[in-house]
Amino acid sequence: MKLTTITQVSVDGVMQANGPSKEEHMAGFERDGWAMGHFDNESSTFVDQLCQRAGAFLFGRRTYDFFAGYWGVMGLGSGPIADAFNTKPKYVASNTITEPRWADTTVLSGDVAAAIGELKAKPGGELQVHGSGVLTRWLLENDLVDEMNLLIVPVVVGQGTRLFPDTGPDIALDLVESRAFPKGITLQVYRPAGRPQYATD
Amino acid sequence: MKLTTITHVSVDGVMQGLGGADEDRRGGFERGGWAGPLFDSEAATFLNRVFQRADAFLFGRWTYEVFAGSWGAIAEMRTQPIGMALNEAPKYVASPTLTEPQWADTTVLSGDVTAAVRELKAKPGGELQVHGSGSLVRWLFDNQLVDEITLLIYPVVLGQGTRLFPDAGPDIALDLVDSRSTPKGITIQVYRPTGRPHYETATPDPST
Repeated sequence: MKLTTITQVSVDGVMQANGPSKEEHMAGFERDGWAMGHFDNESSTFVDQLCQRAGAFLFGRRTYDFFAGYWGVMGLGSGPIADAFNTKPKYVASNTITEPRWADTTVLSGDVAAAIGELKAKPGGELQVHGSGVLTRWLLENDLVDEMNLLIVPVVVGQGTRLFPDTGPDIALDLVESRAFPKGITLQVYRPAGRPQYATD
Repeated sequence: MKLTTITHVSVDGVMQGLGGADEDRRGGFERGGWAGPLFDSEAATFLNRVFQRADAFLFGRWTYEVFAGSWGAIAEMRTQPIGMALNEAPKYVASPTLTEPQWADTTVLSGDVTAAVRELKAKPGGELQVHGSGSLVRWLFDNQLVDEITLLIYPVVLGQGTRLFPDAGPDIALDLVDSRSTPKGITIQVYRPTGRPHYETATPDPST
């Protein structure tokens, strides 16, 4: 399977609390819920179709918990995103979860890189990572990402955790798709392509 | 004049040292020179047109000196479209310390820079462009003086260096007014600030 990441970020690269968030997760972040007002029919349809084409989902612990309590409690037929999450196999990278509360979930612990390598070696399909900032940063550091989907929301948030850390690997990217939606969200699809080239003069 | 900012950034939002390895090593930055290999003729044409439509330029101290020493001083750069635009237009540099600017047709803005920038913006028509000048651009955002933001996003993650947007800064709602990409994968986004963002406070019912 091809491993793809899907991240909603602000123009300043923040990914924290794109939707309304519970206080205990916030750690001083006060600008939650910055993304949803910018979604329109076209961008919503894009996300629906993206989720529908997934072969399986891979989560970090926090996004898993949130999605399990949100999408996971919806019945079949609730909508394309809920149905995709509820009917496809799910994997969660966590050393602390032992009894996952969402059906069809496999916990990856211990040698997570090897476990993900195995999933990626399976033929066909797409292993999608939604949200899951800590996991996404770890996947990028370990060269495990095949494709990165950034949905850039037209807002500067000015605080909060960014997708890309202040200090991290340098990565060359190929832009494979770029489009703008009516309310100003832009989609950028990139494929990592090794180390960047730098001008030497 | 409309105040517009034009900034080259990586996908992770870094703006430091785009041109060359030794252009800007502040803070131990070692990944300079990231823009050149990704710059293509479409991006060049876009950028030439941006410079050519400027009526004046506003700089921070650092970028002013880099530009004065290159576009302002090197004969073969002065005759390129960007060099010609820069040399022909009035230039302003926001600096409390600069007293004798080296580049002709430069006015130093010191003291009440906000008032000076407001005065320039109050002039009828035209475009006052800010290229590079990270500290100045962040200050302009803080003071709500920016009318349009152009970002050229290069397909690279740098993993170090100064970002355009600070870790802690104002929150700004934006309208996307233009979006395009170039053959080598630079995406160009043009945004207009429209005040404070709207935050959703309730989780929506996904079935509606």
